[in-house]
Amino acid sequence: MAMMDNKAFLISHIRNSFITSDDTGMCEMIITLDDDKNRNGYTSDSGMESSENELSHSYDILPDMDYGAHRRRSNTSQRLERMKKEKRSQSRAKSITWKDSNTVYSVDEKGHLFEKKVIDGVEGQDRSPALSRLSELIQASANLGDNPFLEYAKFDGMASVGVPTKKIDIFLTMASAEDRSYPMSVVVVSSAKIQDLVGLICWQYTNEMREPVLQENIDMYCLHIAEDDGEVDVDFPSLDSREPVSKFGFTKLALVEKDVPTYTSKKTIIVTVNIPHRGFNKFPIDNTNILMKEILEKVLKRRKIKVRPGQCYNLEKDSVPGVSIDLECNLASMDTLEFVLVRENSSRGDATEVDNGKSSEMAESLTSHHYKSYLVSMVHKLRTNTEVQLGISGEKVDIDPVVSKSSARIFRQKAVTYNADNIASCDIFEDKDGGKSVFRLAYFNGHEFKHHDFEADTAVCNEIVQKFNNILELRLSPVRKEYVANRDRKLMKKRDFALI
Amino acid sequence: MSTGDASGDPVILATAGYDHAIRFWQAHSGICYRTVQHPDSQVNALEITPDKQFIAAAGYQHIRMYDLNSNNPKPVINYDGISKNVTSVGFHEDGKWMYTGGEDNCARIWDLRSRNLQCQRIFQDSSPVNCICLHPNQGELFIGNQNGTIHIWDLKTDKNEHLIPEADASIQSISIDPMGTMMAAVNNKGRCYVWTLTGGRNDEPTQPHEKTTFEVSKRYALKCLFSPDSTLLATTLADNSTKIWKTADWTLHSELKDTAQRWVWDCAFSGDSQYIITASSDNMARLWSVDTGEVKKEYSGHQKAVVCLAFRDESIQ
Repeated sequence: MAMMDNKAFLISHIRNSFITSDDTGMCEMIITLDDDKNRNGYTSDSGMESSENELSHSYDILPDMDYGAHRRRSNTSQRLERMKKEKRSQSRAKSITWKDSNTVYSVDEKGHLFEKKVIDGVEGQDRSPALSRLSELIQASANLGDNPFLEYAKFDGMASVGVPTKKIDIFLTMASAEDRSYPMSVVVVSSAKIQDLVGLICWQYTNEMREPVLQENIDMYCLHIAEDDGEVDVDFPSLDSREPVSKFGFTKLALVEKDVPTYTSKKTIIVTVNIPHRGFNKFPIDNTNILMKEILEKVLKRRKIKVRPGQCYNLEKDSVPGVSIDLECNLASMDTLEFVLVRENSSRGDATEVDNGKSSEMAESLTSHHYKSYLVSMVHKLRTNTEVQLGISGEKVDIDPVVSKSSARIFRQKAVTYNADNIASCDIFEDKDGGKSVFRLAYFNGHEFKHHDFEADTAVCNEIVQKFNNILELRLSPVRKEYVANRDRKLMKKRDFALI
Repeated sequence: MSTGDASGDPVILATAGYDHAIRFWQAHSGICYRTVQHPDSQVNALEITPDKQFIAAAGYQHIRMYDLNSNNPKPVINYDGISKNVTSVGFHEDGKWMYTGGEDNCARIWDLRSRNLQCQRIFQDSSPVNCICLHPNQGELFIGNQNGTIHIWDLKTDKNEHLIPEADASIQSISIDPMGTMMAAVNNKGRCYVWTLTGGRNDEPTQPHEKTTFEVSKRYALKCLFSPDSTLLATTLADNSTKIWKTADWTLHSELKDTAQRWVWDCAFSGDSQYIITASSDNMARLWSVDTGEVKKEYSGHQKAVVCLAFRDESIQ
């Protein structure tokens, strides 16, 4: 019989009530554990041997350790906790609000806060020190030398707020073997370009006094995609230095020194220029900042090649045939020291073909007045290129627009025909990236010389130009003669100017 | 070289202004190593606490304290309950209290010893407070206002005197040399006034005696500051330069100019008076050699005008 003075019964009753009314299961866990510990502490006041004790163990409710502690928390409770945390971190900032006090300040009550200090004049006079910490640091850093990459410090995302940044782990391939597997974390503002990132990496590298010391020219370095273990992925080219950092999603990159010998090592660089079928020349260069056009001049001078009017020489990378390099670029940006000299409108192989294939050339010149049409695109100054059919024969040249639905009606190219006698010249005008070239067709419209520019694959361009030149050579029209004479005169004038 | 003390770097430089950010710089290298945000308001004035634990930034309606020795980007103490802009802030040399002045025509003393402001004091002025300078005796505040009045508020006795160097010319800045013997003030007419100071011991108030006055600029003068060795007075000007004057004869010592520089708002001398750091509207702070007038370092990174800086140097004994 359960008595209300039976503590054990009461406790057990209360516990079970708690457990059955609690849906979370928390009470169950705590109370059951607690219960085991304290079970033996109570005796029944009524003196009865308690069969009632069994009440403390409900058969419906079994402690389940999997339940309770590891219950999935609802999204709401997670959010609530997050908010609480934020509030806590915010409230860590103490807030002190001004209160106007009506009481008059009294020294005795409030403490000696505003006593006047006696300024010791003598001590002050002595105090003028020879050096301050700042002066010392400035002198010390002057000895160390400035960080040559300081201008890139502004791309450091670590020191900026409110702008999007990217954290990238950079593997340093120039570092010692044990450091190489530990990347340097760089935080860059997302708006920076890849070359700015390279500069920032160099800046941070120098700041962290890493060894070996980097070269002061960021053009000497490029970024490659890297594996998680720092291995450089050589299957991909380096990231284009002009692209913004935000374009790439890589979190790991490797800083790689470009494959150009350094001039800081005091060794002169040897640039090799191959001249097709006439051997090669080597030039010692002591500075990678030399412009490619200066190297070209050196070659022409050494080879005593006279540049005849209308002829133009250029350099190509040995590894990339058919693409002439930008002569205004410097050697450091070339990634290579092997070049090939080419004459414009010819390619490396041409010389052989010309040598071996005189007969075929002859045959070609004989057939060149036969009609042949080419699909090329016409280059306009102010609008997009249009596809045209260029028909060439010994008598005339037809330019027929290829009708496409999308082309605007206003700008549609009219079909025109030029008499072959009015054609003045045809030359390659520009070599573009991707194996394309632009050639210029000059003609006489009865009053003056005009020209059209066309773009096509380099091979096609060369064929067309060759065909035209054969036709022009065969016909030798007065227009052609006048044009050539005009051009030579202009060139002479230019040369005279240059001499002055 | 002895190691820095426990309270962090021996040299601290912070700049702020209109871009709602406070930047911390390595003064000798020009590297910005930390930026904290100062939301909702520009920063009008910056000051480092004497114990180098905090930096106080005065803005619109509040003064915020940031921890100097952690990377916490948020303020740790926020003093508010003030209307309008707070224009100046400074500390008692032992950090017992902080003084602020603002456009609500008040100069205030905030008790820093406890949270509940046991002893706050207020001085009601008649026009907006532009600048406050604490006398080196730590007992008197010199308050310059827009009306052109300088109030000398004796904090212990609560008495105050005032002087008006020039009618209708707003006092922009007041400086007292570390010895407490000279006071200089500049106004918006480009004039500089200099007084010699006597008294200022115990209950005796400081007495200013007019010494000299000269033109520092055709335009606004924004700030004046004595060098730590009292031999120089720097004046930063609206004519895009800083002029440094010799206190011996009040002749020009050097002029700090840069073609890119615009209004120069604030300045600070190195501990040995060899260098001066200035803050300018061209988003830059610069470190100059006082004698040669050369720019030695530039602190570039702010997106808008830099109008205030706080600098702390140490002397090597």
